Amino acid sequence: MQIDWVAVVAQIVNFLILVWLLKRFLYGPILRVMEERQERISREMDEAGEREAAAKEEERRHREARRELDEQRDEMLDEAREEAEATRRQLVEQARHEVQDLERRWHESLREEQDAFVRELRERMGRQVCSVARRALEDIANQELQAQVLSVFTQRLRKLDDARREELRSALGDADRAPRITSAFALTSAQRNELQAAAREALEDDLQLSFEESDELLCGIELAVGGLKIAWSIDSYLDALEHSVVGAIERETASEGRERDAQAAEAPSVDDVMPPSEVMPPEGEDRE
Amino acid sequence: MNQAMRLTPDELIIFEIGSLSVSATFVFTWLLMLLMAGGAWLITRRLSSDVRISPAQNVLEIIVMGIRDQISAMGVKRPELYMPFVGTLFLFIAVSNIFAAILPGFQAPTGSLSTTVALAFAVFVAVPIYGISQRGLGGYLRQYIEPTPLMLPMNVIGEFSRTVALAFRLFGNVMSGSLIVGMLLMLAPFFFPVVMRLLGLLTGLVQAYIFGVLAMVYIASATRVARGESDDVQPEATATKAV
Repeated sequence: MQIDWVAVVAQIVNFLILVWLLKRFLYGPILRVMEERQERISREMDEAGEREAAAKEEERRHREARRELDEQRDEMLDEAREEAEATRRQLVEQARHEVQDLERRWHESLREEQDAFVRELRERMGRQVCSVARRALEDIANQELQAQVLSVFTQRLRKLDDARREELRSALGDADRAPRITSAFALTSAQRNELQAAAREALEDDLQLSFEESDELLCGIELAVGGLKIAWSIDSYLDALEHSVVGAIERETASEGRERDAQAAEAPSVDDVMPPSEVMPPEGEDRE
Repeated sequence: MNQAMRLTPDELIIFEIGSLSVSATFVFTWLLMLLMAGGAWLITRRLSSDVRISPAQNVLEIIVMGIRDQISAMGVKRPELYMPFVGTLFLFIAVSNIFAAILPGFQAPTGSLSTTVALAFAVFVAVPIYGISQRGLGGYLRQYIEPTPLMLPMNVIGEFSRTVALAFRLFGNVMSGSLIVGMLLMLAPFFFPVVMRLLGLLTGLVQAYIFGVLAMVYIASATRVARGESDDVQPEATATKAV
């Protein structure tokens, strides 16, 4: 078993060829590919890192935008709430005004009704008093009452103060018609003469009176000179009666109004104010 | 019987060209070269740098990476520089021994003394080439007179003796493996040869590993002394002891 040196040299050559072949076909390509893969992976990692950073940035911006949106929304909600509150206050105020307006109008109509009532009452009372007086005069002493009325009126004529007398005289000068005596009852000629005398005594000596009758003067008599009048009638008493009745009614109404205002002030809150359409003047004894 | 008792494939002449007789060593060497280079070419012509790769590429990558990691473990800076040489040593011996163990009739070229001497001689030449290319001529030669010039004869003798040991270790192991199988076939034709072939597979791979690692250790010690005087001797000593 000796060493064949030719074979050794041949094997060395073979081995070197194999080294070259494997370097060419095995180590080189494999190492190159692995290096490429490593580069690629590191590149992709870098890209992924960049993308992640970009995504984080994006997320941060989204968060920011969302926060801004939330703030805007809150602001808008607050504004809307304030506006709604203001509108509500305004509406309540308006409703309160309308209610007050209605109340005021109701008061006015009530007052008108009161006035009408008082007028009617006065008329009715005047008529009543008149008819009572008339019936009483007819039943008892018709002539006497007329005489009394006449004498009171005559007395008044005679007892006119100077200022009044002057007024009447100047009115008499201006007048184009004769002074006129209007009475609710027919005057006898004696009564007419007496009136004539009293008028002449009070005003002018050559005064000529005209006479007429009228039912509007309730059991009274009046002297019209131009635009001025001197009268006595149940009217004046009725006026006094009317004053006292009206005063009583107004006092009553005023006290009721105060009670209503006090009740309105005690109301718990503005929310409880009824809509205007439902606010109606209370009905009942106040209208009678 | 004759084949089994043959000590080396050198003695089996396949054919002759003129006065040159071509033995089985060369035929099987060429066969191995064809298989390895052709297989590598077939696989590496369609390589992918993608993350998904073919299983064959995966196997090749594992082998190449394993060789590179082993070379790196020797402490050299650029394993790519030594990989073609050392890696081919390991792969050639490993494939040759594996085929010998699993293919009946295959004569391992590594069982031929001329092949192992050729490989050892290649290492013997490669060590100074790598050493000089890395450290320069002076730097390489200086290691022979270290630690003292008195050690020069010892170092030169060691250089030669380790080459001879490299060649005969591989030859002896592979040859003895096939020899034992041949003898066992005569004594106990059943079962035992199979076990011995399994053992041959193991020893074949171990021998390939040892040859590659020793070659790398010699190269590393020749290129690495610049870093420290004591480093170059130690790995060689431990590796040789391990064998």
